[in-house]
Amino acid sequence: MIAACDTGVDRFSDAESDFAFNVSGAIATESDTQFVRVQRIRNTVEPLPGDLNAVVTLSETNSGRAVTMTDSLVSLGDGNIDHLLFAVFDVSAGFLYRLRIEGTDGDIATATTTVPDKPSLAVAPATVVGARTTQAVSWNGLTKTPENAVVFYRVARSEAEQPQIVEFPYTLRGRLVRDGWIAELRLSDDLRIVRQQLEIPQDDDQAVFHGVSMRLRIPSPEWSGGLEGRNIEGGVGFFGSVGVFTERWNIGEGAIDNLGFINGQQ
Amino acid sequence: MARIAPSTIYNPNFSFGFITVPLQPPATPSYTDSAKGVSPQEVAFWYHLIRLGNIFSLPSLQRLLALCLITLSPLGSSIASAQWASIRGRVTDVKDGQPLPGVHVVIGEAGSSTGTITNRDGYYIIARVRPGEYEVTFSYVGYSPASRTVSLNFDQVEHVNVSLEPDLTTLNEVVVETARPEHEHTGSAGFLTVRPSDLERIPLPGLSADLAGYLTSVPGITTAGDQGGQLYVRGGTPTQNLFLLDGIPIYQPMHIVGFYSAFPAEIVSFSNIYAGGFGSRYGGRLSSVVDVSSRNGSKRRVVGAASIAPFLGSVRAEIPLLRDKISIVASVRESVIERIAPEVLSEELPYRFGDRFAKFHAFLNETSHVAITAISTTDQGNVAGATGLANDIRWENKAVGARYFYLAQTFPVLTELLVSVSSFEMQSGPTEAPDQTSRVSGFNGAINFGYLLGSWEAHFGLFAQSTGYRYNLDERNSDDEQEFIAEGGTYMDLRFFLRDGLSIEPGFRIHSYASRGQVFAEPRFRASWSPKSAPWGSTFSFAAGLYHQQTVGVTSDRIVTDVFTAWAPSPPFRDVPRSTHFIVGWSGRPLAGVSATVETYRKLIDHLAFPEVSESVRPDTQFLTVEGVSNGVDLQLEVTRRRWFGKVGYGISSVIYEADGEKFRPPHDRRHQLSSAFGLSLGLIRIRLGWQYGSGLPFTQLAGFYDDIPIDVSSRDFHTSPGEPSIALGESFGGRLPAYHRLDVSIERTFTWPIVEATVQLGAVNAYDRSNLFDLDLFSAERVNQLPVIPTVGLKIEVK
Repeated sequence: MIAACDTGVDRFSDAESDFAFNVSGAIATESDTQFVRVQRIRNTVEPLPGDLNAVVTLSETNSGRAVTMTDSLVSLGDGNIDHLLFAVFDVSAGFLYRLRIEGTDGDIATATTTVPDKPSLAVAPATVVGARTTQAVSWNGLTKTPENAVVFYRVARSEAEQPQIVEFPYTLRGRLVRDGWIAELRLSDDLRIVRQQLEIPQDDDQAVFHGVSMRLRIPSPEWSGGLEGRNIEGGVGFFGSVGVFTERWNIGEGAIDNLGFINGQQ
Repeated sequence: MARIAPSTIYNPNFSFGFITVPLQPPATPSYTDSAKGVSPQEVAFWYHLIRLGNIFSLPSLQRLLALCLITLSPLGSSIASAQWASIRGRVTDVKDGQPLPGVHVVIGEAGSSTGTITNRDGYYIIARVRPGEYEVTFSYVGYSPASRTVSLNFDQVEHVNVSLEPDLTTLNEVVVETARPEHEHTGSAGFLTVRPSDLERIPLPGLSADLAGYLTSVPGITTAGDQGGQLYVRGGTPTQNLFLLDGIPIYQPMHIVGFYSAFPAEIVSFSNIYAGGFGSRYGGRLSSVVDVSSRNGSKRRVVGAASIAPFLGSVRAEIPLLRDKISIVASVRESVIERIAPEVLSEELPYRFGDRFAKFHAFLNETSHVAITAISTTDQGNVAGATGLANDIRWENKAVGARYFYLAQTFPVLTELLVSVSSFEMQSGPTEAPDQTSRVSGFNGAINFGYLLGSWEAHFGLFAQSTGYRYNLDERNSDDEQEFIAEGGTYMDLRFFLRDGLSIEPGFRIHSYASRGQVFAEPRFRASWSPKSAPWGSTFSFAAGLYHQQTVGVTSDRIVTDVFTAWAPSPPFRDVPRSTHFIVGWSGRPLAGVSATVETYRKLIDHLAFPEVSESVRPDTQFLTVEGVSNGVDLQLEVTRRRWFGKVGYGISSVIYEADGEKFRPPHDRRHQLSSAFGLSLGLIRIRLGWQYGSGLPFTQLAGFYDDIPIDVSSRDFHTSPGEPSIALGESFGGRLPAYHRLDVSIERTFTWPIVEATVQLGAVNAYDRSNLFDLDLFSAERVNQLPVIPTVGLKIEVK
């Protein structure tokens, strides 16, 4: 009867199984230092910057290698501060990594991610049709379009100068095929733009072509899981990984000559 | 009053007919005594059923034409080679010609009598009567009994139509308005017949009694409270209830203010309510059936009423177009609370609702009639106050249907033809740019037949439906989803009235969704036993059945107050939701004027799509497949005295869903429910009180707040990006809202003139101003309460 008279309602759960931590972070193969933001779930809307009182460990399950991440406070864009944890820890393609946050009060949150495997690159010979030179490159093994694909051209004004790098986005220029993801490099078109950007006259035959490469960013499956915050056990937020893979190759000498460059590829 | 032996009482909801084939059945032996074998009627029944089966070998269009011809053709008298006599006819109210369902019709002497009760159309049939002279007695509570003497010969079919006169000596006493016919306490498991007088027992704000008010006082039927218009029957969800008005499906008849529905007492003749275990005539829903029959309208003189009260105003008129033959009835109700609340209560009550009803009814001859019913309802409001959850909700029903009823001239057969179209539209969000929309519309056709063969009956029929769905859960970012589904099927209910008050009703329903290639077979079974030796006039009953629901309501189910529902076909890649019901009940009259019922039930639900807990349902909402079980016990005690009545109902229930091995209690799991009503009549003054209690409903509590930090594959901005404050939800439905309870009181005084009656009502809703929680914004902690104390003054003027 007393309960029947009570009109109040407690919106907070006191169940022990509820979440304790908010985790946001992604490890990447391109960096030897990994970062992750960790917050305590709090009972106020406004942030409560205080001690995290937790040990955060990043481990590579394949090898057993592990590191305890260092806590730091960073200033955020809105003036608040938050915990950013970091560790010098390089990660490898195809390996499984586990993040574990253990509070001093016994609360635990964990998450795992497998860094995407590196796809293999196959490059076709450059094709010359009239004034147009193209080259097909294929990243075999991909089942999804990469999050980000960039082509880099290294070109110098002359043999005496250092090469400069000009990048072209190619994410939307490729397509998925049965074996992977394929893109056709528009060498003649791209290098015409490179000449413009480096202020090399289009008919200057002293410019040196030092090489071409392509970089792919491939997210781990957690990124495509729909709703964020679904891969943290005992917490909310997101923990994923990114495989960043760069491959360089040589273009045939005849094609370089046809494009009006001196071949500086090694 | 003659007491009918229980074994001879037929269920009052029979109203169906049989196949009338324009061909004679094969020659049959002449039977003079059914004890020696099957009767000619039984031979005819099976013959016609076989003929019906043969129809399925015809192409579809020809099938339809053949069925119509067979159904509508009068049964030739030459087919009747019966050696028995029978009595049949219609019982009406002498005052307005309104058919009286549930009238006891008895032939012979008390104790050894045989009889029946009139059906929903006021018709009765007593078949297989031995030739002789009989006195036929017609009795109905609140009316003076009448009797006729008939002399029956072999093969004679005697038509006896009777008009009963109201018993003026007891008109103003509570007992007249509330007492049930004796047989009704023996209603079988999960079944309840509700009459307008039952509705008027429940105090409501204003003078417009309503089926909704009554339903919420029945144990086992729960709501979120007095807003939202959602009804949960024995663990089922609102979209699992089948509402019918004169056979027309109405998708969401409950109004946004929970006291009211599309079924005001003034238009209701009676309602059959199945809280579960319904027979094979009904299908397409997992939980319950509310089958409402509306009034035909006065056929003797113009009557009507008008009322005004703080919640709504209403006007009703019944006009005979051709005395004793043709009538129309029309009713319009519109809410006024949203207009007067800011002035009178200094509070916004943004609920606008109304309904419009019209019915044309005509007796074609002594044994057939036709009715056309049309209804529309509108609802609009903000059920979540300023919280922004499911705010600005709107819905409307539109439906029209026709019903043709035919009582065969010679055979004990009833035929019913139903045709209707019904649509429902719902929107949430701003009117000019809704966030979510849903529209469902369908055509429904059915032919129902009933062979009434004395000690047993056969009810069967055919039905066809086509339903179109269009919905959009995110109007701004996605296209409408559209689908069309056609359904057809057949059913049969057999009723055997055995010895010592035992009756059993095995049934079977088969329906197919042609466009999906799905066929479902659903066995049903009902039984009741009223042994003469049992004390207190006890009746034991049992019901069980299997049910499928192809059309499902997609809701967030996060909290019961989020009422937006998108009607959609069950996804083709999922199993169609299915439920299995078991009900065991006892009812009796331990004392004079005291009736009691106890029922226990178990409802198993499979393949139910339940959205993962989130703020609202969206196109990307993930749906879990859950299995559910609902168990409960409902108790009800009614005391009816000359000047007062009391009613107490208590229900205890448990609803548990299980998904992926995890169990949880859904948001409508109200564990305890207590409802009571009390009425006192002091001459022309009536005092009524109603109190309802419901224990707290589950809701998902907060684990806490956090900042949702944007993170991108291509950048490391997340190192220093501010996050968006967000909530982390705790264990699904792990918390409980506070209990709900409310006291409503009213006092009425009636002033009577020769043909005009005026009633003034004073009352209060939520008389002790309980702060019943309706919705809680987990983020801001803002709470929205249900209705505050609302004093009411109502006036009703009725022309009788």
